[in-house]
Amino acid sequence: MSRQKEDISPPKWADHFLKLYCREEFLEEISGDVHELFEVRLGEMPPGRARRKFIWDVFRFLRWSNIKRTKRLNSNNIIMLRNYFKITRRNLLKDRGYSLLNIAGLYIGFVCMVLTVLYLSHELSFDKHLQRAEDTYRLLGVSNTTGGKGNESAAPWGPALKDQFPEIEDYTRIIGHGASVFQVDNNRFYENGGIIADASILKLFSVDLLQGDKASALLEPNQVVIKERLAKKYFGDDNPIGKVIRIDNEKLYTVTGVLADKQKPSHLTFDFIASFDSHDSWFKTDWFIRNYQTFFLLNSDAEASDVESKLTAFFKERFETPETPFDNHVELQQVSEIHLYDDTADQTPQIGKVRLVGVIGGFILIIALVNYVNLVTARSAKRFKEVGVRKSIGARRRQLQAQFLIENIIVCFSVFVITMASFNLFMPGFNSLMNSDLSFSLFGDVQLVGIMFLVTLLVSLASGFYPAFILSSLNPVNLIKNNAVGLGGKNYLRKSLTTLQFIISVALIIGTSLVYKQLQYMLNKDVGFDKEQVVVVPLGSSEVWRNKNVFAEQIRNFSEVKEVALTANQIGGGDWGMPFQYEGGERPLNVRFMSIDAAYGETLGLKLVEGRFFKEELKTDVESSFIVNEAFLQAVGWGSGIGKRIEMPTRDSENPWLPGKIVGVVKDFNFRSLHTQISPMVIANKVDWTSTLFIKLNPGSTDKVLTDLAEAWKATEPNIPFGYYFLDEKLAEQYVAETRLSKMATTFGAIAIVLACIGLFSLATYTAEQKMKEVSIRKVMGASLNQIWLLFSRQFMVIIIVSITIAIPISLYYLDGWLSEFAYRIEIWQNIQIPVLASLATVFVAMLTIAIQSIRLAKSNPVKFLRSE
Amino acid sequence: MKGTYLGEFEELVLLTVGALYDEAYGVAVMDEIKNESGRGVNISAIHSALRRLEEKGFVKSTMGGATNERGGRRKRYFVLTSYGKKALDEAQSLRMKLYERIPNIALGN
Repeated sequence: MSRQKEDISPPKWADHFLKLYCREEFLEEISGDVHELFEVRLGEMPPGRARRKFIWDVFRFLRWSNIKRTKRLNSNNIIMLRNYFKITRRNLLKDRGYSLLNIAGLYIGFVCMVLTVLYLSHELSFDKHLQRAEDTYRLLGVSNTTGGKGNESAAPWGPALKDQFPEIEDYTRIIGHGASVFQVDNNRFYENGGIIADASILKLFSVDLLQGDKASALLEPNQVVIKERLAKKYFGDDNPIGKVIRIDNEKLYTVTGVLADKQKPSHLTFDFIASFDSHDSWFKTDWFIRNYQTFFLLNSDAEASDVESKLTAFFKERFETPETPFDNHVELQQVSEIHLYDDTADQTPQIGKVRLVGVIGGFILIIALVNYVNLVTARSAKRFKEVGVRKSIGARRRQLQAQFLIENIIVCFSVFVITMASFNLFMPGFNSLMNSDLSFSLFGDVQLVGIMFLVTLLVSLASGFYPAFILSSLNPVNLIKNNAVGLGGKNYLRKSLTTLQFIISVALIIGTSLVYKQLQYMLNKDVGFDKEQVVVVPLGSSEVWRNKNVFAEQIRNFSEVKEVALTANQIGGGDWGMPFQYEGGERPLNVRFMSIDAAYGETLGLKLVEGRFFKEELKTDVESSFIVNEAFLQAVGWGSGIGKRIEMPTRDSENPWLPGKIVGVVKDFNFRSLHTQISPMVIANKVDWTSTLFIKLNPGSTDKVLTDLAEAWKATEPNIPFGYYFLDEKLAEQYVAETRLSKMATTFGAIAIVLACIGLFSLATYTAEQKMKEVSIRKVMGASLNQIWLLFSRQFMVIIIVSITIAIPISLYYLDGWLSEFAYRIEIWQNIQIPVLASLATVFVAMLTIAIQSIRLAKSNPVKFLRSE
Repeated sequence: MKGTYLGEFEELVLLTVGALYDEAYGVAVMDEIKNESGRGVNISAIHSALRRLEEKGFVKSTMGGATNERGGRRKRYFVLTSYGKKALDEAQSLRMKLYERIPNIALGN
């Protein structure tokens, strides 16, 4: 019976809720009506449904006109809340300088954090937008012996593998288009950054077209898809679709699509895509020449490792011969991993740099937060009296806790709001520093704002913790007498936090200077050739290329030109890989390969260890002479190379090896960046293959020589503009990542030091206030300014020395790891002055900060602090 | 006093209050509207409308005596004021005037 009664009563909580919000003058009629309705409904429907309707009605009555007005609330709470706001404002205004420092420090920390998170999320987003990112792979060949990974493949592989293996749903092959000349009417410009690719690239890489049909855009030969920027440049406001561009003075391409200028972040960037069938090259059908990158789209249920082993077996069967055992296996690299983790072709994965930015950004945030927490904690000790009075007139602990927490929440969230509002001011500077193209919008980056919100909450709780929970627990009598026991004495927490800040700062200074040193070392290191005053002119398929020897002879006569050389390989990564047989070797050695003319050695100032360079008058040099580098001699274990026989592969199946003699050994030179060791190299005199001019200018040459060169070029090739670059500038680009890192580390390091000094300054201020009485008594007794300064700095010296002793080994350890990525690096023990100087600088800045406080202290009138007691 | 404009729903509630004479309180008005027009309205909407009508002076209200049902809670009864009656009359005559001007030809097309 009782159970039934329980069932037919409306939910109690809803009734209470109604009582809670409803104005008293309406309560009776409203609750009467909802109860009456409930009773009526009980006769019409199951009780559960009636109860739900009751709840619904209660909520429907929750209208502004029915809600209690504040004067009807227990208004004490509201008044106290208002009081907290008032006290917060007064406290901030009481010490404006302190508040400003404190808030500015927190602000800097927040800004750095948003920048860091923004940057990290950008770096992590590469190729994640691909529709089937987890099924899209790049084909890699990995050497079983060396572990070296190559990302290049031959053109026929893609289609053949797709036919053979049902797991492969689709493929796309990509090859660079090189520097190309676009011509529309009489407008001619060089356009870099083009690629040639299968039509499936649009699908695999989820590239959308602004105009044109995605399905058919690149199916036919001589079709090209261009970026909007190029469309504007050549066709203005006309519809570019169907228009014709002459590329490289040869073929006519029809524009079949327009790409947005701003693509989603991807490791693969391009300004235009030419259809695969429009390119014809002698290696397009070759199974061995690897000049392409091949990407596969696997079936969703295919296992990548499974496909890998199947492909390995396929290639093994295809390539293995009795003489040359197949020494590779296939790896499939997920496309979304390429940007951060790519270690193919001797590349250093980006992830290290990205992590470093994250770590430095995190450090700055830590310093800023520690500052804030430290300062608030230190400052709250000045409020003993306030807490004491509040307690003695009846404030409960809960109320005091709420007060301090609310205070900090107010301050932190104001900083949060200011950060969000002003953030875009920092974007341009940051983007130029990081060479990125990031933007921030409050509503677009909800996650980021969410993270920020949480951090803000965390900071306000952490900084409010000490006053809220410790201060409020003390005896009010002690508080009012201002001799709170156990406080203001040791402050281990505060001291260790300050130590942490200084560890980070010192480590950042050391890191910054060593990164800078390494960068300078790389930019100035002797690379074994003379890169100054060398103009490089790629000939492409120009008229000049057909008459290259004539042209070279012509400009050699210029008074400002010292020497002109022809080469097939641009220095800094343009070398080729090739297997060579050598006397006494069991299997061919994979070496780097270059082809040069007779003047090359002179032009670049290469040095010979023995023998000679090629001679123009010697016909035999072109056919059967080679030059090797020292690394080659070492690799094959020869003392001297002159007269030794080596054999070069040919494409002739009758005579697969072309024998020749070594005529010279060149001193090792860095034909690649200093990230990589010098590999064994063979240099041939195949003048036919050369395609680039190296022009060495006399010292003191002016820009006039460039105009002369351009004119000479125009006389031979009127249709293609003269394109050139300076070798040293091009080589410096190889270190752009390090340059950027160095700039970033310097900026962030400076910020960190400023923040740490703010922290130290405030801590010193706080200590000074605590020690006023002691110092005053000492002064009365006759202490000098020096003694007071010493007394005062002593405890800070301990903090700084401890920080330095911890920071130096840690930072040196990590930097050694960073430096080990470089084949050519500075040694830390040779630069031991850097950590020493960094430490001294830190000590100096810290002492300066403390000195300001101690002088103020020492100069004050002792009477001021001693009279009241 | 707020504007004397009479909304469509307000007019319906006002008519119902008039029709129920001295039995008009929240639930009764709601039931009556449901019965007469088939229109299901939440009780809170009825309360709001009644309160607005009272503010405008179209109805006045008194608390009734203690009841046996609804846990002894009293009801608030609403009655039409003469001003409210006048407002209904005006609305009615305006409607009639306009209604009579509808030409027959407009029908059936």
